Amino acid sequence: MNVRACLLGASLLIGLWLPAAAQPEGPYPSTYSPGPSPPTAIVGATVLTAEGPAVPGATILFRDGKITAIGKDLDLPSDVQVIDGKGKWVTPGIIDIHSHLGVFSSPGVPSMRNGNEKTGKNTAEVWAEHSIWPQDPGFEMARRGGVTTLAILPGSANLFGGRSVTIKNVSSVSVQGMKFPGAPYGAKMACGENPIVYAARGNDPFTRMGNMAGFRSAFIDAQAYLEKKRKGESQKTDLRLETLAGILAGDITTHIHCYRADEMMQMIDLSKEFGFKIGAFHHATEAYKIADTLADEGIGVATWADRWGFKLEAYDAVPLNVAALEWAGVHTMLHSDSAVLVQRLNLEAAMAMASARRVGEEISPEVAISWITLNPAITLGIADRTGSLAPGKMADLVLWSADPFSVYAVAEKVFIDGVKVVDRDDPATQPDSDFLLGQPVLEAAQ
Amino acid sequence: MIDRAIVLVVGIASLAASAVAEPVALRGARIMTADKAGTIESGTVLIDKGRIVSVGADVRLPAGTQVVDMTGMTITPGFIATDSVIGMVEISGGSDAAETSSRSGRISAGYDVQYAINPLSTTIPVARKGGVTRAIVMPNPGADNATFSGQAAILSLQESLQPEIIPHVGVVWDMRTGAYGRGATFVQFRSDLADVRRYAKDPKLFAKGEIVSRQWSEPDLAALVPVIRGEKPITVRVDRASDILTLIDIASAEKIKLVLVGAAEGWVVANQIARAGIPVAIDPSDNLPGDFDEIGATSDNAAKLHAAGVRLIIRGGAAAHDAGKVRFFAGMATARGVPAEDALKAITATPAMIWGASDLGSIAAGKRADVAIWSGDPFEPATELRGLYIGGQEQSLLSRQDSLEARYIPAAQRSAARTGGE
Repeated sequence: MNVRACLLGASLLIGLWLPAAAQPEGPYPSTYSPGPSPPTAIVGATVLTAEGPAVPGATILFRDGKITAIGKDLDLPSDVQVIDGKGKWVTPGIIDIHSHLGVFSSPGVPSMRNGNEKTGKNTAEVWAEHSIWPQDPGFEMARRGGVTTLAILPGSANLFGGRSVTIKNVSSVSVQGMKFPGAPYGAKMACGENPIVYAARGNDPFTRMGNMAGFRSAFIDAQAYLEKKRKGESQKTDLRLETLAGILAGDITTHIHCYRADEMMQMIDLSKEFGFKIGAFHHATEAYKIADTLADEGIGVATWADRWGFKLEAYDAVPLNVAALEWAGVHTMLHSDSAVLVQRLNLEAAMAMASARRVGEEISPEVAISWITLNPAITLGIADRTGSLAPGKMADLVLWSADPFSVYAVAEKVFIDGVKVVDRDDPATQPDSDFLLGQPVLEAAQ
Repeated sequence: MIDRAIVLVVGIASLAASAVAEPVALRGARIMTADKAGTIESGTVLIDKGRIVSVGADVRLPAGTQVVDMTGMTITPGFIATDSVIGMVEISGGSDAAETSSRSGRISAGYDVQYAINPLSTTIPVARKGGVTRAIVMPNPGADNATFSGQAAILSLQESLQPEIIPHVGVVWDMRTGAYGRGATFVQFRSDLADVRRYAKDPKLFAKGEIVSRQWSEPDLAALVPVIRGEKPITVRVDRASDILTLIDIASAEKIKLVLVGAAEGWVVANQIARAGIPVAIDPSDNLPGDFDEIGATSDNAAKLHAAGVRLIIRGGAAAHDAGKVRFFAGMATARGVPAEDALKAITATPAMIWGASDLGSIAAGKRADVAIWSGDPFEPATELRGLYIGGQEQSLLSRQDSLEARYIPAAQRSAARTGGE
């Protein structure tokens, strides 16, 4: 049953994911470092590691923010805090590869709509991290849904929406205090309806052919910029071209918002014309139509279980999309793109599993959990540190009250780098967000 | 000759219909009735002429009954999607394929969703696959900042160009606090209701130009008459606790039947809502302070309202395309403490009763035979829908999405070949 899970483990050993190496910190560096945490053992739970078969009745041990052991009948060191996991499940912390938390915050007042620069077709110069409001109450709600890491993306109103950033879902006064140390940058691109619909009147692109011309012109400029840079010729630093040159140099991962199969094929040709790698197509509701091509090209897909019909380019979405991609060997992920859906990515995975069963085939929990943990970690270039449960990895994990693919499962305890950040058994209920702190309505009931 | 040919065709059609209309017994299932009988662990549902004849652990079957073995299955009433725009929307954004509100300043309360519904929308078969058999279709606020959105209808999701639609089951009012301000919108509301009362007493006053609270059209006034008489509910989308208290006061003074939709801060005033006997339709996933009217939004809203004794309706997947997901929203409410049988009523019997269709939404003798057959717990994603009846007629569980899957996905092709071979 777990042939694929084993293959996945093997591919990890040979370091399939790229770029894996932590990058040196540039400007606006991460200041995140995990707080102290007691050595802890969760005993008796079913553990889904995202690296191999589920381990029923297992013990998982972590200390100083790192997982130290997983297995049955482990000897417990005398100094550990023991949590009873009987009848419960443990999974890696969930990773959402497509979030706008902090850039489109709650409350959604106009001044907090900071995710789309939208002043032109190419705003590759903006960085999502410069918009993030760390007090967005959505971060805490996502934590309670078991989400420990997020890629915060700008866009998708224009062709190049700007740089994304990977963050740990911890409470912090600054975004620097959330940034995932050494995580590679990403860049958001968008094809199809959005750049056309949202383009300011009188501005281009007006059409899909205008979209493609916009991408090509931008990369032609970036090629010249990169060439000068490589030759060591002096030129003024251009923030926009820095991002685009980073894509061409392979330092920045591309996250391409694209729904239709024909448009994904155009983007694949664009990547070949300019020699860059597509990290993942996002949304990709028609990916099932070109599943074999996506597998052959090694392009990941991040999508929903079955959202559809909210615009014409999402009309052909089908609930079997995720399963079809998995079966074709595509690097498959589920994402939220929503402050609400991010809280139940486990149910999105369950719905995609159910679609497979509807056509008489099974997708195992071991595979399904990787859609929301290890696979996004691989695309984000952080899988050497998080995304699965293995000794030496960050202790980013969730203790679920039940099978995480059940509608009744709740994340009882959530740990990030070994620090307990959610505990439903703890009566202390002060909100993490300063915005919600001391709000009379939260204390006014009856 | 021509006449005889027509008779023959009609004859075949009625033969097919009578074949479906013979008594059918669904036997051996776990039956969640959403009625007084609660859950029957192993029982039979007898259906005839579109209605449920009887239900119980031991049901006597008339001669000629077609018996279907449902051992291992769970049977529920068909679900009701409340506050839905299904049928009014083919594509939500940017495609001129949606009409969810009046575009005329002349028609507001009178706006009638029954004419906006396209029974051949692709969203309807998709919703059926989620076990949804009826929808309370409600309009959104319309043109010129109209406060009355229009009249709701109950749509049957049966396969038909002319499905059963129960029109005019209630009126939707939108507070429009952004456009008018609370100090104006509530005053206007009461002034509007006074106008309707005067009109109800003497319709000639309209022609005389003596109904002047606003620029009324006569269909708007006529639509509101059953509301001021307390015969039909008026639905209000509201979140803020203080607004809910204001509405409770107005409903009490005006003796109108109110239904609250949204009610993100409903838990704060749960006891007052319960005492006033006002039903509340909530989305259990609404737990973020999306604006300053719902700073108190919480995942515990459903459970707290239920615990206070409020009549609960669960809505979710407000988009037409997501109507079939309402069962998961019921499950989310159960995960937070609403008992499963009450969560079931919140997507079946309760909305049916509130919008005046008490023969829908539960499995009991005399009720319309809207039933869903499940492979297990109806709220779990892993559970499959195995069959769906609307008014006693078995429904197709195929949608346009299945056609797309069969065209492109080998596993779907294999599955289609297997079922086609049966």
